[in-house]
Amino acid sequence: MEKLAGTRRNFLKKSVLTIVVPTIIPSSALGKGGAVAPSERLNLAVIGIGGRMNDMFPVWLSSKQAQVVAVCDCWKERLEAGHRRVNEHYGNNDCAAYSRIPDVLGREDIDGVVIATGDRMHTVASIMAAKAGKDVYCEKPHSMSIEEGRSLVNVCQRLGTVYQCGHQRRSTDEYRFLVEAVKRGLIGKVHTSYIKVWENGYIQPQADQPVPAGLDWDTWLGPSPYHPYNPARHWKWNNFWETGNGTIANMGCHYTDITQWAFDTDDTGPVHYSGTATFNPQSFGEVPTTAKITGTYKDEKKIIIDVSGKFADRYIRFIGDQGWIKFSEHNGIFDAEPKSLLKLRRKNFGMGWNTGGHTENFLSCMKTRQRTVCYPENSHRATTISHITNLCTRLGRDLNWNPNTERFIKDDQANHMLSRAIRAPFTLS
Amino acid sequence: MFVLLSLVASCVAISEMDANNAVEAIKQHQSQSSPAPLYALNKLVADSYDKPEDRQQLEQAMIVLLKSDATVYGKHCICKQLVKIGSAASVPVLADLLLDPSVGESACYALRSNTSDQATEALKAALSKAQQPILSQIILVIANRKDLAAVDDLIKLLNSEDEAVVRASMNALGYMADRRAGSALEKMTSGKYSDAATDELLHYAQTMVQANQRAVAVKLYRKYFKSKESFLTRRTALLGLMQYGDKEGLKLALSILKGKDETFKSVVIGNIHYLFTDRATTRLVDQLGNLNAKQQAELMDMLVKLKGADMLGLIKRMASNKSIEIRLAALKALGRIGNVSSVSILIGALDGTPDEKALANTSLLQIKAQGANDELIRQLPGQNEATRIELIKVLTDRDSLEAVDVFFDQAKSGSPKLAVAAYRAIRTLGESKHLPELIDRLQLCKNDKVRTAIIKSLTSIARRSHSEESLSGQIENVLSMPQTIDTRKSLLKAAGKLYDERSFVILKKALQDDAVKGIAFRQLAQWPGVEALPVLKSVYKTDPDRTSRIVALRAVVRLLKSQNQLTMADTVREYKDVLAASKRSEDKKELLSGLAKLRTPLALDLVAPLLDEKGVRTEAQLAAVHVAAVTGIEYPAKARAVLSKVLAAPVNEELKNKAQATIDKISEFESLTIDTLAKPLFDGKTFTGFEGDLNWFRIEDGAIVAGKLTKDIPHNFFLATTKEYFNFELRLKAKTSAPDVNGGIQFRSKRIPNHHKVSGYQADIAGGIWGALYDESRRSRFLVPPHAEVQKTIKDNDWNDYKIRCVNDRVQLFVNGVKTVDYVETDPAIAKQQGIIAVQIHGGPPAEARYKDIKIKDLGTPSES
Repeated sequence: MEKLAGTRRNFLKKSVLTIVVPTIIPSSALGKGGAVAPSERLNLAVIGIGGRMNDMFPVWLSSKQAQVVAVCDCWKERLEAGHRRVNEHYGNNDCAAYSRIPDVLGREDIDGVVIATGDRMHTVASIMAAKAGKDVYCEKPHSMSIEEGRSLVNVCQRLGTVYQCGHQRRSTDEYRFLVEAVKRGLIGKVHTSYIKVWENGYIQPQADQPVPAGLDWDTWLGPSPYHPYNPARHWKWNNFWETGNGTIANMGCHYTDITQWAFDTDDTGPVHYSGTATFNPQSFGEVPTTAKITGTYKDEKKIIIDVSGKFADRYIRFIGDQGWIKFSEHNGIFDAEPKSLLKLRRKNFGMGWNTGGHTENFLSCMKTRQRTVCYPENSHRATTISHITNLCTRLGRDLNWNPNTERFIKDDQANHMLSRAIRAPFTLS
Repeated sequence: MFVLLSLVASCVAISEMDANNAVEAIKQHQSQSSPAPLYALNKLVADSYDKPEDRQQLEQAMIVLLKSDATVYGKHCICKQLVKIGSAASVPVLADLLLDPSVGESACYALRSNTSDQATEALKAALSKAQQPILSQIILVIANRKDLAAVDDLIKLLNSEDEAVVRASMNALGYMADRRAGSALEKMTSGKYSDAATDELLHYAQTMVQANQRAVAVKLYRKYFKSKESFLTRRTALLGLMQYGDKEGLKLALSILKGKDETFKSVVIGNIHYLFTDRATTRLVDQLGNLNAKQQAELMDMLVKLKGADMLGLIKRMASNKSIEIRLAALKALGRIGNVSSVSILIGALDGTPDEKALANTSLLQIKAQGANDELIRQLPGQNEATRIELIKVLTDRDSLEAVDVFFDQAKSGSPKLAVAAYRAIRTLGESKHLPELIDRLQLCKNDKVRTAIIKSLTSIARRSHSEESLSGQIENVLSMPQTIDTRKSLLKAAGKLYDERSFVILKKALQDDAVKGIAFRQLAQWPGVEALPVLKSVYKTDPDRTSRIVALRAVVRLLKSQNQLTMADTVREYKDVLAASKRSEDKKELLSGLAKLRTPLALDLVAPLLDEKGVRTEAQLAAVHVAAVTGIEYPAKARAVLSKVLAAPVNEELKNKAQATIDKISEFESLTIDTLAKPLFDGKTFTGFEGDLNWFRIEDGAIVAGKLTKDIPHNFFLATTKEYFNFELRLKAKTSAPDVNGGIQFRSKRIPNHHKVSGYQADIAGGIWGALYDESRRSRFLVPPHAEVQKTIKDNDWNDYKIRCVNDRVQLFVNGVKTVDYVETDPAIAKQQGIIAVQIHGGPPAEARYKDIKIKDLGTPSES
């Protein structure tokens, strides 16, 4: 396998997998000319049918506002399973299956896409969809690099795309309570957000292998640099920089998002980062095994990102000058000091308006054209914290960040890492 | 084993040899090689950031490698390092590599961040030399670099025969803040690529805006909004004008709001934040009348999000609009603005439709401004009674401690309904300092419902603030003075809920007083502690009133049934004592009902004689069979004796069978040795006795392997026994492919028909939760949370011992010899359920859980307990 790059591009070629298109295509709610009939259902296409989508299918399929009319995956068995699931749910054959994103986006009756691919595709697929006039719900993380994130913000702003990032914790009662408690000063003046995610595991080195039957590996890689098929890179993609970002972005971006919300810093972020990280040279994976990085905001507030320990022990804890409040994800338990503030966790705390769920918020905004809960800018800023944290672990030094110019101060090396290489013909605009 | 990257930067410069060696180590690198040498190089590169000489040495070594016969992957890795430190020095070799199909793509990445003029030149020059697909890649890199120097070359490429090259070039021109790029794209809009050219032209417009050349952009937006282009193009143009067209944008937005195009109306309203000036706001507000109610509500929503309190006047007016949709939006907006001056409007809406009432209520809860509680308190007395009741609830939910005094005022100024609402609020917010006032109120109260509300307030405040003793002291004090009978009764009721020592004394003393004795006795009959046993027994033994005696007896049996207060022996002694005093059959039946629940053979001594008594024989038989069933295995002789006696007399069929079954079980148990009991559940070679989706289970080295390392696991899978078990001891060994892999062992479980799920107990396996007891697909929560200590004993890559023991309602789990769970099932239906045993692999990323040496001692079928 001496060929590494630039060998195969089937992006514009005809698909190798079967495309199943129903004969009757349901009418679009927003339609090709955009004639709104808000009472009608929105037509959605699902792109990427892995573990996350299988978790989310019930939510999308049960929505009364929308109907999934197309599914897309570059892996035959997943595509078929997803296709079957959707059609079985609706009890008809209205959903079509595609192996290539451009074929889905070419359908004018589709109003929006739900992207649940691996991280490497998130931004480029979102941009492709936006350029095809579709609204976009994309799972986190928002981007693979800070440059990508900013590009997506620009594209959505230019085209008026309604975009929702899958930072769905902003739409859940637990986190709304948590943030409300912080904002109301129930722990005094907040000064720290402590984020605990789990360590990145050891990855067994594996030899390259023939591509499994039914998988279109080149399409799977998408914008990432070309690599021969390797099972570890395929299954543990989150542990390699070209395809993933480790737990700091995987879970971390949810917590950085909640922190940004609680700190009211949705359009900015910390200005200084420092800390330590460990890497395991025996592991095939590239991301840090453990890390502890502190980001400091202009007003001295801190966000501490702790990458260590077990999956079950993941939480976010806000600390103020008169107490703290912590929510553990695994068992759904709140803890706080003073304990009395937990009793406020009842229905009528007056937390403000529930968005009606993260996905429903997206669907409503598709109709009203209003900004979603996790719109491009705030999700980009939250993800930026994860990216800089990762850069801090990779460079092993303090980083000074200017959130206005989105550049590191006097550090060319770090600035060169603001972007990542992407393969043509994918673009960022 | 771990590389620590810390802030202690190395101060020593690296030698040329170090640099060469570190780079050389990558020469034969393959994509599956261990990344260790890459880490070493990474670190050198990272540390060189403030050391120009080091950086130079590293770059030189990299150039040498790129020119050598290194592996393709090695060159790829080096190019990735050059992303960070590449200077003019490495441009020539990278420029050559651009023409090499195997590493051209990687060379592009390295040049992408190279800030030297030479890099710009090299990329530009490659446009006329490189082949596809690298050519597209080079164009993309030039685009991302925004290399204006390449504009003319890109324009030339628009004539290419290759569609991909043309599209990439158009995309790149969209990035260039250069009018030549705009003109070239504009020309393209009339050709074969018109759609893409239009997209890129509007991209170019955005680029020009960012380069402070708005006028160019606005001209394009104007042109394209008027055009017959696609909806997306016109939407882009509209948003461009709204953002950058100043007055023109506002004018356009207003005309759209006046017009008939509903789609664009939504676009304008949803993006109204682009028109964010005071003048614009006024003019937008003027347009409200042209919109339908839904759009008005949306526009208001947007205006409030943006302008907040500035919109208060408008929103207040809208709160009395004819359209309910608009009124509701206004009520919601008032909560969002959160101004104290909205309180009266919101209070007014509490009288409206149910929707209005609900929204007003939520908005009142949301107002966070200082003084909101004071305002609510101030306005409360002037309202009608229904509204006052609502406001009392609002203040309670707002935790308005300062409102308690008002609640006290309200409690005596209206109907009993209002008083009840007020005392309920006091119950939630009151503190121990309010207890005396409540006692005073109790003495004056004439209404039963209100009195009950006061008693509840008293007792729950006392219990919440741990002031039971203070309250019982006050009650004692008040009772020592002359009081009406009603007052005394009420105070005794309150004392009955405090459960402190003094209250017990007060109640006992009140038993001597004929006027209140009934109430006191009723409180004692509900007393939760066994200290009430003597007085209850004495009532039972001596009181002339039959009803009181029955109540006392039931209370005695209730206390004796309550767990953990008395030892088993003391409990039996108490039963014996009361049994001796009971003459009537119905009393004995009552006692037998309690005896039947005991899990001690001592109970059989009391039950056995009653088997001969005709009036209670059936109940005695029932108790005997129940007790024998749960104690028989441990105390076979006694159980067998009493069961034989049961069977010797007339007995109904069901009990007879049960008694016989217990005798059989005892015999079977006695005849077996431990060795014969422990049977392998899994033979190590075949799936005999198991069923499940065998795509996800296989046998390797005598172990069941659940899951795969090569495939995502779409959902949970279970391999289950075909036989069901109830009482048993199960032993097995388990290990997982990684610490976070989630497995588990189901027991007493059922498969959910036509579904992959299984419902029932699960002994859990996964990092941090080994040995926890989870209730899978039933209560769906941990019945016993993870045991922290045992986690330290877990061997991540090795076998761990698991033992599961179920006897009747008791479930015990042991991991690596540590008892992690000792759980008694409280749901009687679940406690009786037998079921399958199954091993699990949890859905998720590729993973394996292994199970082996699975042995079981079957301890038999359910026994009634």
